[in-house]
Amino acid sequence: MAYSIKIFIYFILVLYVSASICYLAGSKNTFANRMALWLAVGGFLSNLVLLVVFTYTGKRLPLATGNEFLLSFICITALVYLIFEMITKTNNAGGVVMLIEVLLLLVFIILMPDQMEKASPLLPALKSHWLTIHVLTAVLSYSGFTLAAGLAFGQLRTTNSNGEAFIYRIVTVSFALLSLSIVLGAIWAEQAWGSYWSWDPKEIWALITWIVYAVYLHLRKQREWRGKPAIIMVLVGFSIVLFTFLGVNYIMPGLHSYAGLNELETILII
Amino acid sequence: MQHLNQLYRYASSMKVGITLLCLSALLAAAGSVFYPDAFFQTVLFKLIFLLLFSNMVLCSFNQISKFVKLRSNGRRSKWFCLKRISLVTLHAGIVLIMVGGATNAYCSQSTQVTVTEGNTVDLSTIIPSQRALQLRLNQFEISFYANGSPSQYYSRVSITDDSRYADNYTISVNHPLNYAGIKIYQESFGYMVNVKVDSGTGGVPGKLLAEGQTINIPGTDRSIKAYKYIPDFVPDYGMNTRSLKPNNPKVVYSVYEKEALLGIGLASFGEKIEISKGVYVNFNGVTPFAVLRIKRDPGILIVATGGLMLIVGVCLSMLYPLQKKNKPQFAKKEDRIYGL
Repeated sequence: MAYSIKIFIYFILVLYVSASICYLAGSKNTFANRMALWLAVGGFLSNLVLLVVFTYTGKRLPLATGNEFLLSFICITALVYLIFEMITKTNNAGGVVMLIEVLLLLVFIILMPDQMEKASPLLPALKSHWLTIHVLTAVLSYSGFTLAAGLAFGQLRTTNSNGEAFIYRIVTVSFALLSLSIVLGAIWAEQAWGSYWSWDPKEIWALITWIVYAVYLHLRKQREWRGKPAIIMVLVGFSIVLFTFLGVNYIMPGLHSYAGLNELETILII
Repeated sequence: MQHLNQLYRYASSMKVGITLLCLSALLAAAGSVFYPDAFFQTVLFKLIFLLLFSNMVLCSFNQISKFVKLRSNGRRSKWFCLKRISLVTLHAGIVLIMVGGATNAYCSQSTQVTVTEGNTVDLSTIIPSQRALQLRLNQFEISFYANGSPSQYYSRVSITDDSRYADNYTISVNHPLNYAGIKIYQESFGYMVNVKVDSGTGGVPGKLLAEGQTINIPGTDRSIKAYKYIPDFVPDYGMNTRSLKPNNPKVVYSVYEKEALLGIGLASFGEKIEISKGVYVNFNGVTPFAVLRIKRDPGILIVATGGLMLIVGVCLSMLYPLQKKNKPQFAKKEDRIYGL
């Protein structure tokens, strides 16, 4: 089981890598673009199958641990991107978004090799419906920010006001979801730890992410901030999203870092 | 008067708000790296918080007055109203969260208490209350998954309210008890080791020792420390327990003579340990204790209202960009090309 899951994850990686290459290579090539789309769809469907397997074996939605969050994040980002491509019929963000997917999957393979096959039972603190919707909204908002960053990266080369308007709309929706996620997380923290806000590193960096995008939404209304400055802000925001998700988990241990603790140590944070 | 007007405009401006937001983000980032435990208590942070709060209050006030003024001028389009209402709700929500947070910081009471099974604590001495509240821990229990890892921690308690017997309650992780405005959370747990000394001239009544606690042995100058309780001892795990299930309970102890360490040992329950000639000690099981957090936070309702308003405001503001003039145009069918 464990071995076949590892092979399957490498298969998903190959699909995303190929999709990224085709998107980046085929700016004017219709065949390469079609291939890229099908490879991205294949990557998404395989990713979804893996999550379904995790759900079936763990008897719960795979949203509780770091590896589950990462896999769900990659899957939903692919879905959000594909919906965007289908609706707008543009794929200028495809290369960058798929490249981000590849990098995230590599993080999963390199940093969480022993968590690949496990759907471990939940710690008591994680057994809450608030957790499910808190994480789900966080995944959705992060996926939106990833798509916005992919589009923003494409916008660095060309200045297209229509493209920038898309980025603005995507960031608005993602910002709303991030706000929802923070509030839901606070409700869960209140129930689990007796404190809705503990200045935990994850909370601080989620707040910083929220502030950066709030500043973007305010500044974008000013004419002089439209165009490149706004696009750079979206990219800065996304780098903070990545740090909030990955950097904080590995550099700053806190209430959100369950990895690496033994059973007795986890008692301290029940 | 003009200066005051200018000052008001400046203090309530978006520019100042954004500057303060950026400053607070930078300080929070630096604080989380260099002073993670103390930074958010510093005067600098409180000052930024206060300035941001003032800016938000003034900004919200401006938003409301602008809304009222423009409405009275006859501008009543659906989108205009929606945009203004969403912005006011959102900003007012943030203001309320800040008020609730400040109320929590200065007015809330939160204490951790340790209650051994069968014992009672007087809640009214912990959180001053007009009612006498006694909390008794009837039982502490752990439920397990099939693989032996803990699935939930339960503290079964009863509360006596003004000498009247109240119902029994169960407190578990994620399910705090809310009683008369006091919230009680399951925070941690542990075990007291039951030690019995038999000096040959008649037994000494059993005593409960916390991990790391020492008991003097009567008639000798020796003492014994119950160093650690291991519920599921397996040699490969060393001093760590394999699981929390009491499959093979052992107590790690150390014996001292006038504070000098004589030896360290591992004992099962009921096993006789000879401390000196004719003097024995045995460990007769453990009594669990629950660590509960007792809390009263008058700001929680304010924060909850603020959170709700923030969400409503944000959701409403999401609808605003959907109006036709703000909608980004998709490529026309004949113009739809890949790789733009």
